[in-house]
Amino acid sequence: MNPKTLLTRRKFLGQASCAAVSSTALFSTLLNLRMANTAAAQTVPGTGDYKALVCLFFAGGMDSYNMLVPFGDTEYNEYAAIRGADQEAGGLALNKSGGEILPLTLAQPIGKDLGVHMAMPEMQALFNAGNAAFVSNVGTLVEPTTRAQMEAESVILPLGLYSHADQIRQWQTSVPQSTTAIGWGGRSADLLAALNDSNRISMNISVAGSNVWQSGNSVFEYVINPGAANGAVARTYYDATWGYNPAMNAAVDSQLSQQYKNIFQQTFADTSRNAIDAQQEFSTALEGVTLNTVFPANYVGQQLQMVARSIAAHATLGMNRQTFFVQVGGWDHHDEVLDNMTGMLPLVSQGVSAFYDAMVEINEQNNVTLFTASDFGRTLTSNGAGSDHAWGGNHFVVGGAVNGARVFGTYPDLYEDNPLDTGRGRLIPTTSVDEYFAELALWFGVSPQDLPLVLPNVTNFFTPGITGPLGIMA
Amino acid sequence: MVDDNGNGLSDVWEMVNDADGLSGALDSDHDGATDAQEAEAGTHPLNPHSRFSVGMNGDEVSWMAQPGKLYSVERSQDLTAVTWETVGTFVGLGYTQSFIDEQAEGTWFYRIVALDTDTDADGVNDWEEMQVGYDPNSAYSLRLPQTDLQRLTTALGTANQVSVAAIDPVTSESWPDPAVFVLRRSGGVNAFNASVALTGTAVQGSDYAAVTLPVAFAPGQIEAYVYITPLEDAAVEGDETVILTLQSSADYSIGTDTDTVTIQDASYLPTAKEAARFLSQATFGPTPELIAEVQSMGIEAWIDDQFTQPVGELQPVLDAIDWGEGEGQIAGPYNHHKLLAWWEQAMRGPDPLRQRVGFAMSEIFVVSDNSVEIPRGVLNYYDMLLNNAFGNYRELIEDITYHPVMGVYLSHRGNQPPDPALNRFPDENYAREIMQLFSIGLWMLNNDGTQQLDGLGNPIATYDNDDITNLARVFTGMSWGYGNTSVWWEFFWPDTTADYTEYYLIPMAVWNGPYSVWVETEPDVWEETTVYYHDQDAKTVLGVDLPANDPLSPEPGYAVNDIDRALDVLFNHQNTAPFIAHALIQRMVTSNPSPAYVARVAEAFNGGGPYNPGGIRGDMKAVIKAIFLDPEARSLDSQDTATFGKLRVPYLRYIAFSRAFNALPGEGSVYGSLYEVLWIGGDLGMQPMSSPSVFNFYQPYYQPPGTIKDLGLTGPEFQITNAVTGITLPNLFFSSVFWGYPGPNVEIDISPITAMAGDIDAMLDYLDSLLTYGSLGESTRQTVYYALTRSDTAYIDNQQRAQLAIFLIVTSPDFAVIR
Repeated sequence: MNPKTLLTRRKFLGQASCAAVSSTALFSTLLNLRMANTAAAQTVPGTGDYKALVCLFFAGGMDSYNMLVPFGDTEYNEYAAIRGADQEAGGLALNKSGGEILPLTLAQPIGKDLGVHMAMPEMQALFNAGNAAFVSNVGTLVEPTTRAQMEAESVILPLGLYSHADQIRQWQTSVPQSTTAIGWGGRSADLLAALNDSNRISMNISVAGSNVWQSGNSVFEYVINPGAANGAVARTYYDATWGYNPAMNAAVDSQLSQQYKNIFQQTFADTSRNAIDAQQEFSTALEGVTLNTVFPANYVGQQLQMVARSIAAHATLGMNRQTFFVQVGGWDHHDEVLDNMTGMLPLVSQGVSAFYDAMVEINEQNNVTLFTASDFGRTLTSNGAGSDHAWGGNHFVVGGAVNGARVFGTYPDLYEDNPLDTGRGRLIPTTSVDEYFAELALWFGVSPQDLPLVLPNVTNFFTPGITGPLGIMA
Repeated sequence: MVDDNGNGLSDVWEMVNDADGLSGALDSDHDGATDAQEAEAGTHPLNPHSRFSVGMNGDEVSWMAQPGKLYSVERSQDLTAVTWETVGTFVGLGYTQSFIDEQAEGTWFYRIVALDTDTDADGVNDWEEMQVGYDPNSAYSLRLPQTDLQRLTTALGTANQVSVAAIDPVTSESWPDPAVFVLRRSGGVNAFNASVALTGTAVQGSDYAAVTLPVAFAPGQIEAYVYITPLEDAAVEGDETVILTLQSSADYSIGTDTDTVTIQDASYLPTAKEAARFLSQATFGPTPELIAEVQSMGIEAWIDDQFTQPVGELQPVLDAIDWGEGEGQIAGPYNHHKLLAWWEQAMRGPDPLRQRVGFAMSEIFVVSDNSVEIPRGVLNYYDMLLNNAFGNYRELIEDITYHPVMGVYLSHRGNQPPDPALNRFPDENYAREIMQLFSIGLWMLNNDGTQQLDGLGNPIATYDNDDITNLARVFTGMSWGYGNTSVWWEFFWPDTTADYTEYYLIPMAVWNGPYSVWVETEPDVWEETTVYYHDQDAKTVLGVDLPANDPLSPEPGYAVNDIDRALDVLFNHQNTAPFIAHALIQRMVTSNPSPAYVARVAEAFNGGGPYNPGGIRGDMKAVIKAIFLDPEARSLDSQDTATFGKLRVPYLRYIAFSRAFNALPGEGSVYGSLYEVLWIGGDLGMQPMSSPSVFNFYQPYYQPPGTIKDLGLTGPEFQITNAVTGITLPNLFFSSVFWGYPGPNVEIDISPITAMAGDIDAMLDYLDSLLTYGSLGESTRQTVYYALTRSDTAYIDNQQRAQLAIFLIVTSPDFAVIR
């Protein structure tokens, strides 16, 4: 049976099995399948395996050269020189001799010794145990870029470099030369949604509101509330059968199902209808899902706990592929970057560690991969007490399927005016977001042939094959 | 299947085809399909062109599928075979469906069998339910107490009764939103025509557009509408009437037989609907008093009058509270206390137009209490916006630049010139955002707000990083206004006894230099050096050279002048007018203004057009008039255009509701007679002055999934209307209407509505005029009317009627959108 036959067969069954569900769900099924058909049809449905991608987004632009930090003497001295060793005088370098850097044990040497910020002992442990890796100096690129090319204006640069809104969007779309609002998580879901048994709830779930990453052509994110007991609050008395509630809610149902000529009214009705339907199904699925793993009692832990519970409920929800969007904001440290990072990184480190433990608890650690993203890295030089918007930065990937205890990409030299430095220690990325995300998309089930549909610029960096360009995923 | 007459054929099928007395075995229309086969397929037994047929094109089998039926595709390799193999079953979608059997090899025969299914197992099959408008997925459609089978059986055996009511009883030649009669059918479920006569003083065809008669009812249809659309004539004729009278017929009996609508003569003054619609755009929401005011003055005169009203400042409201730890005092002010002041002016301010424009400005020139936790300071900033709302943009952008809250929020306060030796550079935050968000935007614009494109069709960036680093050097030397700029250390530490929170209330000052400063160059080695806190070198911003300060002949006031010159560059940039015009239109009128509309408002900004007779660039009064008086904002055609309008932001939806029902604080609040409505931001997904970032709660280019995105349009406010707020917001309305307002001691007053609730149509018309400026859709109105008149709500009292009606309207798509 060739894949085309298989898809046709699937389309046939997909329609037939929808006899009992609402037309909205039927409609989205058709959309998803149509998308699958127009794609090269190489991303073949799997065999019921489960995989989830979790994006942890650091909104504001994390100063990630203070998260993954040089530890060997030569590289540390370079780092201290450019960031400023005297913290009292506005220097931004962590004090190695003062114990502010925790060393990492690299499974594969890269010619530099590195460590993590002292506030991240859990990340240090995850890394050294082989369950986490770092990707270094990664950022938005349209094509491989050097400083000489930039000066000669002979290279296409990302739009709106160093700007929050643009760079947040581009990290989520992976198309830095365009203002498209379709994210690569959404495009992956367009291809893979047919793997799921249910379309009532989107395979893309956000615990942090609307976002671009999960917005596809036919699949959009379902936003849940990490503060609600089972992910979603119910409409008051919606299912009550006493008093005037049936009459009231019948009117609500009618209002939300009727057709409106005005596109804003129609969109509002659709959004409200979906909120009710999805809440009912989602809360039912999460009811009774409890985890023994204790998450830190803060907004990072709370979001990741809700993701973990949703993953635990994936079979009930009929999901074989899911993405999750988690966001931690407040990294725009033009001021007081040292104190702020020391205060915020523990939330990240402890939350991610608890999340990994929870995946081990439900035996999904090899099927779930968490990765980080952020607007941009920050200037290596100080503005007096903080750092400004820059470009390349460092990120981590956590999960049992990760080639752990390694640093991928190139950890750059940090001396001033080095060939990557476009001024003030704004480093040109040496690894593109496309290379980083290709690893994740291939692992997630996107075929090499379909990879350019998900990451349109990817062939500017490498020719897609079965394995990724960096080797992050085992 | 419903078959009360026991002839083996669906009674619903017989009814919709008006086919009595069939017996299944005959082929009444001689089309080759027996009546029983036609009943199975849902086709017409008396029309020879209507029968179920299957087509074959190549290897593609196709058939006309009806909604509610299932179609079993079966195959056999041999027509003599007794058994057919089922390949699969399709759901009927109401159009031609097709199938290719790609697994087939060799020769196959196919047949399609039309099947009925009863998804909700209520004895009425899906096809029958869809014919009469029932819900095939629920045995109790519309959540009624009786089952669909009980309901349908009763209806099939009951005669029709028809009544008329004028549900939208007034229209006007100058605002020809049609008056509406409804004909309501009760009892039966079949199709029929209602005959009506139109009389009255108005003449069909000259005073109002011709009406198509008789009025047709489809099977299951419960309401039909007759629209009276006035035609404008030059005649001064006073009010005219149209009377609709039901004519008797064998198909129905008559309940209420007649009602009247009024056509008002054309007037230069706005109608109540027109006034309410304008107020929905230009204020936080209409009240009966404001509607009357605008009707009596006219829209432009009302705007002119608003320009003269005193400013409803927020900070004085907070300052009047006795803060402190003592007996009878209130601890604070804290972040949430700002809302006391915001609500006071939103509800009772003397300047409703200014308050609305100021709020729009606060969504463009954003500061947020999530990083500046100085309530009086943030209110002072908000008041600065209010004070500039009717001023000049040049003064506005300068006041923003010098405001200490902005100085802290975007971190240009305390910025120093570059010091390469220290690897220290001025913070670029404000330099970037003043260009990207507050003045020119990222892309070169035409005067109509569309993007300019280069030869390759790509947008052209307005600035590059050099512009940012240069402009960052302009915004150096600015610090607390309490400091003495002749003393160097007061750049860092003002010599004042004032509390540090006071620093946020007066504009920043600029330290230039030179200052003689003792610096420790090496341990215990001090050296006197000359220091400037404002960058003295030349800068180039957006192609304009800003001069250096020559140390040999320094320019008096160089630092302030340098900043002035940079702000002039932004003010005079060609992008600023269309950028600001588009932003303000989007916040108040429509998400997707036409380029021509943007161009007209930009022209007013640039000193031209009918509203800027003085020719003053940046005149906000002219800009505001151009926004609200533009035909695109004002015309009824816009209201009826599918892509016009915007989602109201959740917080303002709630404020409009509170204003419409005159929410007032009572006695006994610790805050005196202020609105203690402090904790609803979570449910609404937003709160004034609490944006998550400088990019506001939502972004101007956000495209919600679905039609809006497919059309390439934007719907910014949908970014905070998701599956979470899609539930919490209606829940907040529910608790506010039924259980009590979320502010202790604050109450809405729905007694005027309760007093009307004896006449449901009159009550709904009033709520329509107050909440949805006469634009409430007939379908939405019908949902409310039937909720209040069905058998299981017969017991409720007038207050509950009013509550239900208000709740259902304020949570409806009609109220959520202004158009």
